[in-house]
This record gives sequence, structure tokens and C-alpha cells, in this order.
Amino acid sequence: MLIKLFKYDFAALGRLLAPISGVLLILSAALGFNLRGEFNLENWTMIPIILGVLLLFLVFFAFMLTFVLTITRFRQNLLGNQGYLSFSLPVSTAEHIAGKFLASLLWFILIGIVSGACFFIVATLSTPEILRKLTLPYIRQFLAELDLTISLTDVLITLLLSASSGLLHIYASIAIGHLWQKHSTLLGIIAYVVLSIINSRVLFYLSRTPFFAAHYTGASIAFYLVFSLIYAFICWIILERRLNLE
Amino acid sequence: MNRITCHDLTKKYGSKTALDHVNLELESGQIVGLLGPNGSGKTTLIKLCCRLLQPTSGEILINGQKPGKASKASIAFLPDRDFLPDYMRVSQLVTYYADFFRDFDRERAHQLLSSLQIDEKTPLKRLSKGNREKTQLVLTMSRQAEIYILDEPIAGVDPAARDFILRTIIANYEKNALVLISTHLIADVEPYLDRILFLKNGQFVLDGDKKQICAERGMSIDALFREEFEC
Repeated sequence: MLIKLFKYDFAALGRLLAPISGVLLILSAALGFNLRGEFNLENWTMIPIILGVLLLFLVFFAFMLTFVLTITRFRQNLLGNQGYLSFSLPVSTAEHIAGKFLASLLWFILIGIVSGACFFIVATLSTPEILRKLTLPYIRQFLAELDLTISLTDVLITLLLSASSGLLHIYASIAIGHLWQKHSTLLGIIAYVVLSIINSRVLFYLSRTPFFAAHYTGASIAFYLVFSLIYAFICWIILERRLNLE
Repeated sequence: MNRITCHDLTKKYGSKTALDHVNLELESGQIVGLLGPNGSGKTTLIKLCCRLLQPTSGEILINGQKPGKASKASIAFLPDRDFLPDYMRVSQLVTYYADFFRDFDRERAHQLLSSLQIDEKTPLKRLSKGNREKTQLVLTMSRQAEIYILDEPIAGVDPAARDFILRTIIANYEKNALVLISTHLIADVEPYLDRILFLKNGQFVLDGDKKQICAERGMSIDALFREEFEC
């Protein structure tokens, strides 16, 4: 059932996000072609400038849209009129939360990949020599020269858990808002702010401990994992015990 | 078999008591009218059956078990509002129901939609209000459920549509199932009911066989309702 829920949530978010991603990729290709051999600033026309600004704006818009759609999908599909359908399905509350969480997380990742691909497309179409340089040995050497003290895997895991924690933070806030039907939006916003303050205060004090400094990556991963579980529990317990669809 | 059982069931919203220590046993194979004025507790009882609410105290059992994942698989619920995602096409909604409910009869759904001349390629939001309500009803009644719970299925539609909806319900429900209909439009529903429940201020003030009640009181259920709930 979780896979089915995920499928429908992913498709629902994709109604807007898939076309936006397509537009981003097309726009970046157009910008890349327009910038070909145009890096002499005196020769620049307005077109690449406009396309560049438009691309940056659209990347920002895509992330904001993903954020907004995550919130509206959760609210409408579980706590709005569609909640009468969702909660009549032979599916547990935990499966509902997990389906939406996984679909939203995957779209955030995809939008991030598309945004990265856009800049890659602009760079390689405008300067095709870049493609010849981008061999695996070159990339390895580039990363080695960066002298990273942490592994790329650790960075990716931390980013993933940070995104997960962020999403579940939103869900927990919406669930808390549901406790006060008349002003659910206001209470949800207040809950989001309060939980953010608690989150940042805990991180502030933890980061000053010797343990955190000595094991920064592991401690960060543990921090985001613990808060993800706390937010997921808050969301689940409210929807499981205090659901009241109007 | 008792499909729905309530023991001393109470639901409060703050200081307001919506259901007040109700006891109830509903068996399979009957059509039950849950009747009462606005605010009497009908929708609260329905939500408790469908696990859209938790009781304040007491107990409600569906097929002998507490409401949960298993009971939801055996209840076909039609709420009193537009509850389907309106961006989805009718055909997508048929697939959605087939995906989640094992007892959903796709063929029946296609036949009913075809008889209503509803184009399955049409998004729900492009259908008229009446056709949207009929689509919701078709999807609900295409399930071979053990319990059908219909909250105001004929409110907000014209008399011709009401007749169609009631005929569809009677023609398509599983004969061993329990059908619980909550409505204000008693005169329309009365001919089809086996049992009557009058709910007033969160308590049952009448519970019995329709024919027996009519014979004893010498009046229709509609007339009895007007007398009982006179303003």
C-alpha cells in the first residue's frame, strides 16, 4: 500500500514540477547556445542576460514551488476534503505520512539534480571544451585538490537527513495546526516557528560540546536523525489520535 | 452478524457532547436510516465508524473489531461533500479505487458510468455538480463491501437525480451487507428503509423496524420525524 500511496503522491506533485523541470532544462539549453563564444562582455546582447536572469529566477521558483506543493499536498490530501477519501483507505496513518514524505523528498532531490543539470548544460553548451576536460581522472584530481576533510558520502547523507528533517518539521507543524480547526494556518505557522527555535537552540548548545566538535559529521547525522524521528512521531500521534476532519 | 456495535459510546468536542452514551447493534442484510436534525450527532457517529474520529469514552466495533485498517477495507463510505481529487480524470479515479480496494468491481463501475453517459476521460472538475455526485456514488457502490455508510447521499441534487441515486444504491449494494444512510430527505428514502434510528442531542430516541413503527404510530416515518423534531 505504501508503494501505491507514494505513486499517487509523486504523480500529484509532478503535475506542476515535471513541466517546470522541463522548462528549466529547455531554458538552460537556450541560454547555453546563446552564450556560445559570447564571453567577451563587450559583445553580450540582452538575450543571454535575460535568459540567465530568467534561469536563476526559475531555479529559485522551482524550489519554492516544491516547498509550497509539499505543504498544500499534505494539507489538502489529509486534512482537507480529500482527507475523507485518504483516511477511508485501508492504510495506516504511518503509511500516509511515509508516502507523502518519500514523494516530497524525491521531488526535492530531483529539482536539485535538474538545477545542477541546468548549470552543467549552460556551461557545456556555451563552452564545449569543458566536456572534453570532464573525464573521471580529472574529477578525482579536482576533488583531491579541494582537500576535503570529510567524505562526499557523509555530506550527501547529512544533506539528505537535513532535508528529511525539514520536511517532517513542516508536517509536524501542519499536524499541530490541525488541533485548532478555526485557526489551523496560524497555529501551524506558530508551531513551525517554535519548533525551529527549539531545533536551532538545541543545535547551538550541542555544537559547543567537545563531543560534537570532535565528531562533527556523525553528530550532525545523529542530530538530524533524532529530530526527524521526533517530528515524525508528533505528526503521527496527532493524526492517529486527534484527527477531526470538518 | 453484528456489523456495527456501540457500547456506551460518547464523543465530546470540548464542553459540547455530540454523542451521549449511545448503545447500538446493527446487523448485516438491512438498510438503516440514521435520521435527525442538524447537530444531532449523525455525522459524528459516522466518522467514528469510519475511524475519522476517536471516541471520548465507550467503544465502537466494526465486525467485532476496533475501527482500523481492516475495518476500512470492509466499509464503503460516501461522505456528504466533494471528496475526490478534482484534477483526476474519472478513469484515473476508477483505477485509484481498484488499486486500494480489493472488493472494487471495475466492470460495474464502467457500466454505471456508461449508463450515466459520463465520459471517463473527463477530469472531475469539468463535470457538473450532479455528475460529480453521481461519479462519487458510482465509485462507492461499485465496491462489494460488507458495510455501506452514506452520509446525505441525495442532498443538493434535483429530484430526478435523487431517484437515480436511490435506485443505484438499492440495485448495487451487496445483499448481505449493512447499509447505513444518513439523511434529512426522509420522504425520498423511507420506502427503502428496513430500520429507523432517530438521533436527538446525541442520543437515540427511536430505534426499531420501520414497518412496525409505522403500524404502531399510524403515520409515515416522515410525519413521525416532523412530530418528533418540531421546532
